Amino acid sequence: MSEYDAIVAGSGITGGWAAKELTERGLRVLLLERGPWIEHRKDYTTEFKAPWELPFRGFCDPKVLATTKRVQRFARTDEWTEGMFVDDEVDIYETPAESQFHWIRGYHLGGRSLMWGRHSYRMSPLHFKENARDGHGVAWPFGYEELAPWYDYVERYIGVNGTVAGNLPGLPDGQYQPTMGFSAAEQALADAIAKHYPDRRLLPGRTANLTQPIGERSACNNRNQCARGCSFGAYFSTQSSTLPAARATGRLTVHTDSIVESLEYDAARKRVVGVRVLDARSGTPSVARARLVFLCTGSINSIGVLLRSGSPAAPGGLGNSSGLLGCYVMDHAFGGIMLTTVPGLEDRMYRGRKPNGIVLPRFVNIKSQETDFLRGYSFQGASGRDSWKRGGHGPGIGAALKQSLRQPGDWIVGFGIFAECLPRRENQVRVNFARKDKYALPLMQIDVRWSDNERKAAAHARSEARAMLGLLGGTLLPSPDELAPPGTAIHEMGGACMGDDPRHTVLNRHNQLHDAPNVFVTDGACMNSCGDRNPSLTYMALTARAAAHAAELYKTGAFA
Amino acid sequence: MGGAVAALVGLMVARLPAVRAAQPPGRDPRYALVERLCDLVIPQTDTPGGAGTDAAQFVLLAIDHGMNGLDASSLELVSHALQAAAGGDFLNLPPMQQSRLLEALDARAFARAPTAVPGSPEMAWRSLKPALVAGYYTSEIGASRELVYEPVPGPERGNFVLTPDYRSRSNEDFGGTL
Repeated sequence: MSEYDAIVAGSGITGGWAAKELTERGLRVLLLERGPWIEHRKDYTTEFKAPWELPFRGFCDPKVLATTKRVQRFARTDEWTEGMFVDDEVDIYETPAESQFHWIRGYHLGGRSLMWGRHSYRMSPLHFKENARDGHGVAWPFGYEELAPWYDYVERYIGVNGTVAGNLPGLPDGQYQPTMGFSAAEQALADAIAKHYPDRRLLPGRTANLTQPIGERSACNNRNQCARGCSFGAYFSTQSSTLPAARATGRLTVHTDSIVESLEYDAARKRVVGVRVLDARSGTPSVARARLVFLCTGSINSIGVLLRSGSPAAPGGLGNSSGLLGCYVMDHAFGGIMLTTVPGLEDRMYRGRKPNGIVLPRFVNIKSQETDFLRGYSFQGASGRDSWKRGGHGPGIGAALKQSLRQPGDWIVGFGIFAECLPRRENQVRVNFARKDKYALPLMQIDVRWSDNERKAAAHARSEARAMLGLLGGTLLPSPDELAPPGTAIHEMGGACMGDDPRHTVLNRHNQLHDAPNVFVTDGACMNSCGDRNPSLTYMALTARAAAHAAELYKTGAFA
Repeated sequence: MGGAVAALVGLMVARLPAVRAAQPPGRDPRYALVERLCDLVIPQTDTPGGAGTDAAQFVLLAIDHGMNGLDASSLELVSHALQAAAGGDFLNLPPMQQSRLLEALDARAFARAPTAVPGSPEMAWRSLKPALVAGYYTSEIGASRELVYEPVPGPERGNFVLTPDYRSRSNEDFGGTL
């Protein structure tokens, strides 16, 4: 008999949640993480470094940006945070020129929970209906109402600051700590939009940064440098939140430097009976055993584990009897950033550096199909005053320049665009078994391409953004009219769609593989559509829900 | 676990970019000009200017590592333009004259209808000046004596009305691009 009841593969946002929920529900859990250990506080080695203590003063070495971080740089890395991201010359993958998928990752305990953007929005009821309505992708097996109590549960636990806005059609409300509010420029934009667009509402962002303490986690100190790691535990991460909870049960074992290679499948029992693991340092293989497995290694890696788990009984990969494993992969189409100066607020300033901004929920195609593209987009933005850097980008030298830089520069506020990516079967993740990485793992192949729908949505969004920002009477700053490459929103998801029919879906409505029900996939791979907003909150809610179901099944002996 | 932590520390140290050791001030033939430019852009007032900091070392690092599109020719173009305008010995001119010559180059470089073309001293100055400014405001003196260095603002937040004695926080824009 195994010493573990469950194995959780991956320690990021969903792996941490799975470990917490399963251990708190009485299961003995082995948590596997492919990267090294990062201890909360102790291992945030750059957190308190001043720029003058760093070789490049906080800017990145161009050589690093051109080589080992040539993809990861799209996460807006800096010299403090670049070590949190993988090495692009080691952790390689394939993507065709027509796709140029940018796969941004952090291989260490906590995964991307340490560097995530923390924006935490619920999907709207509309998002769960649109696959069925317009025929793109696979219909969700449940609606918003099924997930709502799990959103409540997760929001209360992780701590999300925000405002209750009256359940806007494009954005349901949740359980919030006090908001971080608007800066003066954000308030001016909110007022202008409210005056000119009755159907639009600019809100303070909803982020997983505490404005009130939770347990040992402090309220945010407004440093706006979360991705270095936060010793105050003021933003949600595995290290600050779910890992301590799981460890407190006494039922958690963590193995780092442990890469999940594949799953061992017993065709007779239609059950996974082991997890094949490679030691990341020595390459030594081993097998871990438990009665159930949660795959939470990140959407693309979870698909990879399943595709590498082929057997005579499952020749196309485990869980692939539908032939849809790895299909319908998505990311949000990031449509650029539009900025404007804001005149008339020169005497106003904001105290601290709040790690939050603004959100404008979807307002198109809510009640009916109004545009020449399907679905919609949302905006997220931020504001600030021009910094000392402006001294290098304009005329003037000497004492007058120095004196002027003692005061803040222009207010600037703006939007970034997240357009929904339609789920399309041809956007796929596969495995190239002929080419291997340094761990002897075959390379992932990622082919996600934008369609005209995303291009039209982003163009519409840019036009609307410029019109709204123009209300402030400032100067619009130049911005490119093109979509960023797939992957750069860092919201890659899909590939193991959920549904009740095993012929057309990979997972059932509880995130279990139809073909091996003791395997749960609860990271972004399980998403049937991507909506137009940050997905991590939804992943967490889905994971908590699935873990509760798994624990119930476990107690009934379903996995015996 | 201890071994894993030690391995991690080793990994992170290994990931720190290899930086060419900065030459001691004075040994790099470019140092005197760069230090002078730093001090002309950000002079000493009631706080030290560029020459009172290690800004020049950062600028040389930026040139040597190609930050902001800089390369060896950037400084050479600026140097030749200033030398030509000075009649051959820019560094030995009185500070006021140095300032006037640099101001003229700066004005051309950032003119509303810029005359800067690729390969021109004006274009080189547009690449070099951000490094000079960043070198100063990311130095300990520039960041924490000239401006206010506020690593932990605290939990209070909200809008307020600026007073004349308000001093910008250097932390507002660390990282990113120059």
